Amino acid sequence: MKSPEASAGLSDGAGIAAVAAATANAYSDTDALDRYLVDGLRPAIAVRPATVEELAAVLRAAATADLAVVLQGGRTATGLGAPPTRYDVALDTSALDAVIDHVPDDFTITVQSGMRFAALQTFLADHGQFVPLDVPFPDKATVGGSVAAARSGPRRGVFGGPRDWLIGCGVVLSHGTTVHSGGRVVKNVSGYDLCKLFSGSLGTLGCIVEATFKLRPLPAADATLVIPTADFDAAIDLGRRIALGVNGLQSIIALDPVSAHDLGLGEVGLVLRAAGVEGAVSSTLQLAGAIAQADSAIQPEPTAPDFWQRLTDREGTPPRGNAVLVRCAAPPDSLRSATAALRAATDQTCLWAYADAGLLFGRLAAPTSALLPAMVATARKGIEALGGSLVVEHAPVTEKRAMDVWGPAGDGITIMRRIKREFDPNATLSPGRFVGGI
Amino acid sequence: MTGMATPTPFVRDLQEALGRDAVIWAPEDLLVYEYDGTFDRGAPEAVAFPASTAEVAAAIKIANAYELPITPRGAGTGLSGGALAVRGGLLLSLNRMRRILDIDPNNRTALVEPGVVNLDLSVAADPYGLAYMPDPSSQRACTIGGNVAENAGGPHCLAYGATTNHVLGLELVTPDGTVQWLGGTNRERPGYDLVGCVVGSEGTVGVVTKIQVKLMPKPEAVRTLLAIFDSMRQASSAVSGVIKAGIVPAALEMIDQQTIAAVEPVLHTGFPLDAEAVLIIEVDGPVSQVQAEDAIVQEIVQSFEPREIRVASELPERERLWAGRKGAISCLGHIQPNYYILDGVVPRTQLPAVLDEVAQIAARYDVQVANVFHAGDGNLHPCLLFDDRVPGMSERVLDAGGEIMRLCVDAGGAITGEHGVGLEKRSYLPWIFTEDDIDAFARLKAAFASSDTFNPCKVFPSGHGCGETSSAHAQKVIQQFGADAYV
Repeated sequence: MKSPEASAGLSDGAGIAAVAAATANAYSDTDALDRYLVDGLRPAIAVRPATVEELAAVLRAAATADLAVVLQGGRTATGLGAPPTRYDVALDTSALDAVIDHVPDDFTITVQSGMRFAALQTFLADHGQFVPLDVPFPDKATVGGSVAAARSGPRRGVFGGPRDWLIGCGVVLSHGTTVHSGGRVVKNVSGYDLCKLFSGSLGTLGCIVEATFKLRPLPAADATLVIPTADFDAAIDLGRRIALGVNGLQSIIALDPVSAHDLGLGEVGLVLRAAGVEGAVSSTLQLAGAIAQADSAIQPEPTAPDFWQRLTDREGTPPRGNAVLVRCAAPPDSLRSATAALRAATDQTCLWAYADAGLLFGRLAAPTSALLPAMVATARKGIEALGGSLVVEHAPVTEKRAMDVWGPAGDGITIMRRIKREFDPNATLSPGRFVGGI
Repeated sequence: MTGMATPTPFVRDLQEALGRDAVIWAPEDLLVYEYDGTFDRGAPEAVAFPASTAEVAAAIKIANAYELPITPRGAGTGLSGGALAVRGGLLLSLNRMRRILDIDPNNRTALVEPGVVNLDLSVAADPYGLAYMPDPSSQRACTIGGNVAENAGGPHCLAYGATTNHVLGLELVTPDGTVQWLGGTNRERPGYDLVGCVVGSEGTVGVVTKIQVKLMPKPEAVRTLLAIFDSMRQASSAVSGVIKAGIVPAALEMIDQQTIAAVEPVLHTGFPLDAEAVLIIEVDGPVSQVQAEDAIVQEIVQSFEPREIRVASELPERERLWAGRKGAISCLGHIQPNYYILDGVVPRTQLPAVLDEVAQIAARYDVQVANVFHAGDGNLHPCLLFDDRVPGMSERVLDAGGEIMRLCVDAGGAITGEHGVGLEKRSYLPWIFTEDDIDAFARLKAAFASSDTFNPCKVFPSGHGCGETSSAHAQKVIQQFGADAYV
């Protein structure tokens, strides 16, 4: 295994010193830096600015010295993206964790980006509100990181992603300028919508420092129904029929035997979630149950109280051994074929799917790690033939360097490269980490 | 006679590429294309009606060769001057591209051309039990392409989101004439969210020639309430009450007395003429949910002491209420010959105070004001009613409009909720954005367009590729109410 290396060997010591001088919280001892490894690379310095001004000063100093900066929040999604081509400065946003503005009756909130996602939800729960996004490991994950990595979860089919809830943002660009987009109102078309641009940009265009979300009321009732099925394919088929036949469900999850076992369920099957006003939730699940009855007698199984969070966490959990974690999107009615495509690439799979949204996750293992890149390529080819896409969320570092974790970005890549040049002309932010080598 | 004029080389090139009947250039024919729903106007040199993506690209390349400005146009129902060819050049009308190319009921998507009328898509999806949710009041005329440009909203975007939440993929002809597919049939495509960048960019980064949209199942049950109030303040407080209780109605609209007076004699909706304001509150979804939410909403609204709450659960009654709401603006012409519709947005808790202020401003300028708007979103549409034959009246209306916009900004809001910045409000952009913010917008635009000739003078304040031409009234308002950024 490759040992961590500092990639800043040739970089300017004076530049590092300037970055260190920009904030009171700078670390350069090996122990501290080992906490900021990205794909096995160790930075020359790590900073945890206490204010937005400090953060801007850090970025300005780094840009001046042409040092590469990798932005980090709770480090729960650092497996996503290609290894950075350069990595001098780890910029940790987690000290910026204040609630800036919350008018409960407006159903909006503005927070600093380093706030932990769970802290945000806990704060809002006291007011009967929430941001309808599920993120893996919310105790660690930050708001900014979750937006930058476009995290959401099992309710994605209904609630979409961060781009659908972020109504305003403040972002420090690579040369240290702070810019804003949107505002604090729930409907707004004033100016270009840079919230969309920065959502999912994985820290390659600027550092999100402030985020405003529109909120939803916490539902009065929230219930789960587990329906055992003969196998994973049957779970997907049933899930699709329920998706088309029943309105009002928030999640329709198909689990293969390994996934079901991991999540504490006895059998392979389908897990449904409904939430809302009291009477509606039970009748929605009853309707779904009635569709399932035709297949098998339902024996509802209890789920652990943290079932949904554990399911969400799987989206961000590195697989053990010679394996990768992939996230595939395909037209929902082709999920069965998508499953077949992954199975054609390897016979060691652990799969689960969001049947309403057309999302399929897979831990795909190979006999040796050297076979992983070819396995991913085969799987991707199969998914793309269905009009879908496959992203590698986690892979062993060495093999990651030998594969394209993103796959093709399509026609838009030319404009994406131009956007990168416009916003980060010297490629100081997470160089090489995004699609097409951006 | 102008008809005897000969086409310019630019027009001849267009005719050759698109066909003679696909190009308008005689001045008398161009007249109708000088206007949209706003005060301003702009005369193009030619209007082209491409029938395909290839023809759009060809027309753009021809205009580029002559270094002429290009302005895309949908139905021309926009209310911020976005479709005006203010610098002349080519006006690109997308109205001939009006095919619904695909409806996929299993995956709940549709692929359409930009000229498809908003309502026609929902009508086509109806046999599958599906609908296209964004429903601007102009949905019988406005097109999906224009909706994409403006990120159009509508009454039901309170629960379902605006256009940007419903567009999955786009075919875009860029300002240099290249054709690209952005996004796809889902949101998981790797890379920057270019679709999210294009939607709402007001036709300034290219021409959208195909649109992949999400369709949603039509709700199983719908119930529409009409709450009648003797006080505007009580009505707007009830709006805050519903929002704060955590109910997300499908729609929550307010109509004031002035508007009722215009609507009733024409549409016979059943709005009482002596009410100060009415609220239309709609809940939809599964039957059991609608029953439960309807009861909660009625209880909340009741606590704000309405004169009466009427319940419409049958389709004809609901349609009558919505005809009154969506047809309201066009009825205002019966009160005064002209109206100027504003589009501000404020935090919802600010509604009662802001509505009071709007009334005071209108009184101060001695201008009649009618309010009909998306109360649940905090999206105001004060309509200033006037007769432009009265000397000095137009100026007064524009000044009052500017002051109302400033009021929205001061209340923590924004200068447009759904109509766009366009030509009309670009001078107000510095009220809510700093120079650095606007520079970031310019960087995004530059990534799509390398020249300034594509849809000039829209969104960006003067100086961003549009030289001096800020309209006189906007200049005056800026002088009066300040040009400082509110950030």
